[in-house]
Amino acid sequence: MESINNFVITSLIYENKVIGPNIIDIDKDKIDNYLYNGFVIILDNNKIKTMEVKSNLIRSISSPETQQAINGPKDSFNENIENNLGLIKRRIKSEKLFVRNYSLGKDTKTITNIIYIDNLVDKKVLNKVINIIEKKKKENILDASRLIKIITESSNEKNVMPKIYQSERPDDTSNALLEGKLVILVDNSPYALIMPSYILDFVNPYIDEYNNSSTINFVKLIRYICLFITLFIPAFYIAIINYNKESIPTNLLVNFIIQRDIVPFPSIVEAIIMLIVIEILKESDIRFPSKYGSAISILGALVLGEAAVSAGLATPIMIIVISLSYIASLIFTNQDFNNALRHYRFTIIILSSIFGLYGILLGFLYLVINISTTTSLGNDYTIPIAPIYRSYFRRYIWKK
Amino acid sequence: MEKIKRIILLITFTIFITGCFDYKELNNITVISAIGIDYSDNLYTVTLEILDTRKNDDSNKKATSKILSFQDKVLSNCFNKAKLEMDRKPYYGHLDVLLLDQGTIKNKLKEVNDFFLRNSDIRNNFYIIGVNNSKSEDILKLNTNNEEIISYKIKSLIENNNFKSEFEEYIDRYIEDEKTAYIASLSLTSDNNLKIDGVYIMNNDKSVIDDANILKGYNVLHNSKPNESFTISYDNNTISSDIYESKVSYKIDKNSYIININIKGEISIDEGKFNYNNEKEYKKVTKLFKKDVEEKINNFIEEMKKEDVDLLGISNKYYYKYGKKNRNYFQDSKYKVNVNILLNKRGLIYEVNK
Repeated sequence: MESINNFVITSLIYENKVIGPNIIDIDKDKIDNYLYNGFVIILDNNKIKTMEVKSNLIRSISSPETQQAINGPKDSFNENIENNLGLIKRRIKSEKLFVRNYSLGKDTKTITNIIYIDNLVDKKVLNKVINIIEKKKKENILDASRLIKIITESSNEKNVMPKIYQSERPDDTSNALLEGKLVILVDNSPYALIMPSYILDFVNPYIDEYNNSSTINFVKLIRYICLFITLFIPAFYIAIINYNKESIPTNLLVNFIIQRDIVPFPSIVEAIIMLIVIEILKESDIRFPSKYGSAISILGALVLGEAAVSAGLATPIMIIVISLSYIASLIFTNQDFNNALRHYRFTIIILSSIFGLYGILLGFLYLVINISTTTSLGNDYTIPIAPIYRSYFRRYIWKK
Repeated sequence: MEKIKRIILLITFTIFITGCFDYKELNNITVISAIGIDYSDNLYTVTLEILDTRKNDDSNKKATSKILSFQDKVLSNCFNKAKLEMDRKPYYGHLDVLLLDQGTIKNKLKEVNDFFLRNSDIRNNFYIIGVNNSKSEDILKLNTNNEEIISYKIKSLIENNNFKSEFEEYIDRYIEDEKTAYIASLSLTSDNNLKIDGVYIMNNDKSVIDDANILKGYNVLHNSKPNESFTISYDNNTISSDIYESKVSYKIDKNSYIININIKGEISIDEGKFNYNNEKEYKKVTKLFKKDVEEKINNFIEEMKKEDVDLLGISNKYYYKYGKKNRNYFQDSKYKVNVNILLNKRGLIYEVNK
């Protein structure tokens, strides 16, 4: 509308002719095509003229929503690939920063950029990704998550653990490029895909760099503890109360027995019910309009709190254990990583309900074997622990 | 196909060789915190203290317990009866104390040891206590008003005592050499209070040593932190010292053994006339304490010889050194006790020579 006002109507009133950028004459049969693509049609003395008046449907650069940093920059990617590329180029002004441009999808023609620093990037990974993209050029892609699926499936690395890190922060993405990683930007996606990514990239985010190293290590330690809590605490509780009660102090055990007296289900059923209720709440919280958020919170608190206990569906201690596990999982903002944790959590809980503490050990072995056999575009997923990668270790696991 | 077969086999084995045999939901168990065993007239009486796990509306109310007794000629039958009469499965994983009356200790100790050692349902880290002048049933039933859990009281009583007779330690000693084992003895005082007053020793009569002076000697040898006090008279003053550390080493020879003890303590009570800063006086006092400790230890060893028990395990030490069993080594060999005592810190005591 703004362009029509500025160029068409104003000039017609004052000049009695249309003055504006890129006015071209067209044939009658092309009117439809131009109208559908954001052009205005002007009939001038039996001549058909057209001018682009397309409005820019892109939101402005806003602050990150899932990867907030108190001290770091507040810009984040949006749906415009040009903007996103610009945000990276503002940070890395090197002639070695290469951008490969692709148009993916037979129908979607989605603009996709592969970005890397030529002298730092792992050429094997680069060639692998380029090959995959070249092969799957015809597949329609609407956003980056579809591309993640294509790359993961094509590299035969099917596993619950995410292998490609999605970042909405340009600083995080630029840092990944400087570490020799590969970044893919997809038009209409407010995320950059960083690859290869390793398990600890999902545990310790880049934003730790903005804090004092001696104090941030404590936060890192808390994250490792949370990883342990979210995976093992419900299973540990079930194993302890069903098989190894002797390790609970007597007074606490008596309390637990009093609480469990009114619950008719076995503790494993109770735990699974509570976990499923929490997953439902989590899902509804994400999908539902945020204005209803408080209603859901109140309802959730009621369902999970007093009401569930009064109805004899769950014990207070089970609610504490499951909530603790859920709260600990909230520390990890990557949704794919959280979903992977949920997969392991359920597996370990079921094993612990059958085999007790031995089941937890089995679950732990399953987790370790699964993670240590996982690769991210051919690289070990457990880097920098196995194999040890000193500089990466010092930066992400325990800062010097 | 081969891979699937292997996986099925692995899962099957895992389920059958491990599994959930001890799976018990919390609401299906009854927690037993104390067992009392009495034996008289060829009949065992087993008394169980059961922690009350019924939901109580009064959240400020203390935890309570109830007492049940079962009688039979066979010990295991008493426990089977308990299983049948209770609405939930008895759970012995939180057993705190096992009380044995004099009749059981004197006549049926082997059977009791055997039962508790073989029973996999009952844990092994509880306290074993002999009741001296009463029945264990009476002790457990002291809790008539349900006001407190009697096993908790007995447990804290024994934990604050120098002779903590834990079942695991007791049974280790008993199996290795019966004469080295002991059980703490509990007495009921005239005003219905409980008191740990000595130890049952495994002589022929299974008698109780309750002489405080003899027990002092054993405490210094037995505990690395004895928390014991000795009192002497010096120059018409009464001086008392608290012993807080004791390191004992044994030198075993073919026909004799030497007991070396390094003790640390501090003077706690005196009548204010003793000059700590005078080195000569300090040495004299130390010497007197040394003599007193040596005397108490000698008394203890002589008493042990008289009773034909070996609480210090001297004969075992001989066996470990020479590889020959000689159960009379403790009795027959000569011995010497060397006490080295350090009271307070020198730097804090002596006057500075300028």
